[in-house]
Amino acid sequence: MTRTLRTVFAAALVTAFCGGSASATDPSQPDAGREKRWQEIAGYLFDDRDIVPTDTLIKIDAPKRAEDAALVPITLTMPEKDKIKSVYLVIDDNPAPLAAHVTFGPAADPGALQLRVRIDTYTNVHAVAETKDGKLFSTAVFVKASGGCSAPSGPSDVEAMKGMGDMRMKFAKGVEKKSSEATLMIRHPNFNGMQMNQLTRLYTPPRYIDKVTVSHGDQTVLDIVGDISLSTNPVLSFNFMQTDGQPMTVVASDTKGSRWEQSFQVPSAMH
Amino acid sequence: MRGETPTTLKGAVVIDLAGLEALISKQPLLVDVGLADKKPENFPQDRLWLPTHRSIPGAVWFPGGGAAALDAEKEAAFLRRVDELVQGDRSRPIVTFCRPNCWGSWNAGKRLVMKGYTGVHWFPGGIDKWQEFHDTVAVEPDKAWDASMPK
Repeated sequence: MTRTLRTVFAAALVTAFCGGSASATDPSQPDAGREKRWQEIAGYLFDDRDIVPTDTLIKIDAPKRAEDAALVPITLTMPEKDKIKSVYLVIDDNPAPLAAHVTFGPAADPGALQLRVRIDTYTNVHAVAETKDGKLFSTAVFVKASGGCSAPSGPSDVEAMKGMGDMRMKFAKGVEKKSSEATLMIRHPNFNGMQMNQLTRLYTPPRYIDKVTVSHGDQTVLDIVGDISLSTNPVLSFNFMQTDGQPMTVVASDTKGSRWEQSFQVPSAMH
Repeated sequence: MRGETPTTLKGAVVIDLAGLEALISKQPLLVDVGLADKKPENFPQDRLWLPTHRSIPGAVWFPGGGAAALDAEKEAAFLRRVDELVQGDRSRPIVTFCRPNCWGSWNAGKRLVMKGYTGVHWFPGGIDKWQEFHDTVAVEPDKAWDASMPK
């Protein structure tokens, strides 16, 4: 009996060891180093505020393996949307980890948000929801993508800058009454300072969209503070509470002090 | 420098991931010469800049150690440090790597071959290939190498 137990115990130990060893080599498993990195970033971004892991308040949908590391589509859903004040998107192992901070205004429907980012190496991606009562909730996924930060913005810098600041907006019917969906596209190279000009062998100086405000009539839909991890020609999909006859206005600015403003007519009777 | 790299390195063995996995049990010296992320000029002070470098577990990181043009002093520092790490054993297996299409690891391998190392392996797949199947760990620049770099 004792012998049997000992054997079982030994087998359990071996299993535990193999299990531990397997998870240590599987990058999709949490490991101490990745958690330490996240804690360090969270300390800088949120000081000592508590961040509570959640399965319900915010979810991330991202490809497990990205086709293009410079254009990784990320969808955030916030099912209990009435509680949400803002969301943070953090790409842990990018050198500038905070990709975007989006604050929702009174004309927003904060149920969902979609954007495209650059990812430098296999990394955890965290989304943090800030609720209206000031609490923080986080979730994370592991994304396999590599080289997104150094990928060039276009065939040449001049080409990439053509039409800089041009915007387009597409509208679609929302899933709920009065809620409509909009997709904003801004033409901008979003040079991040880490891309090498293949002809001159010099780094292209950074120039990226750092602020976007979207309004519907005189109400704010959302404010976005962006960073170098947003992809070239930023695309953002969001939902808003439609008031017929009111235009959508977008004001965008970049780190070189340029400012662009454009208004769009929202097709009526979309819902 | 990035660009298409050759398929061979005279005096060294070019290895793929399976080759590296087979070599690991012989405890090779893993020499990572990947570049450190350079902070973009005029990066706003109120934004978080917090680069990290993930590599093959056990690797020694020489940021910029594979530059095509290393001045004599830095080249000597690189070779001295490698010599220290292999404790003078020039036949010990050494693997040089960075990322795909990075000439740095080819350059570093070449330097070691020229210096008389006989166990040099070049792993052109680098960190990208490794992380497809294995975890990576965050590494800091090698202290002795870092101290030899101009501040």
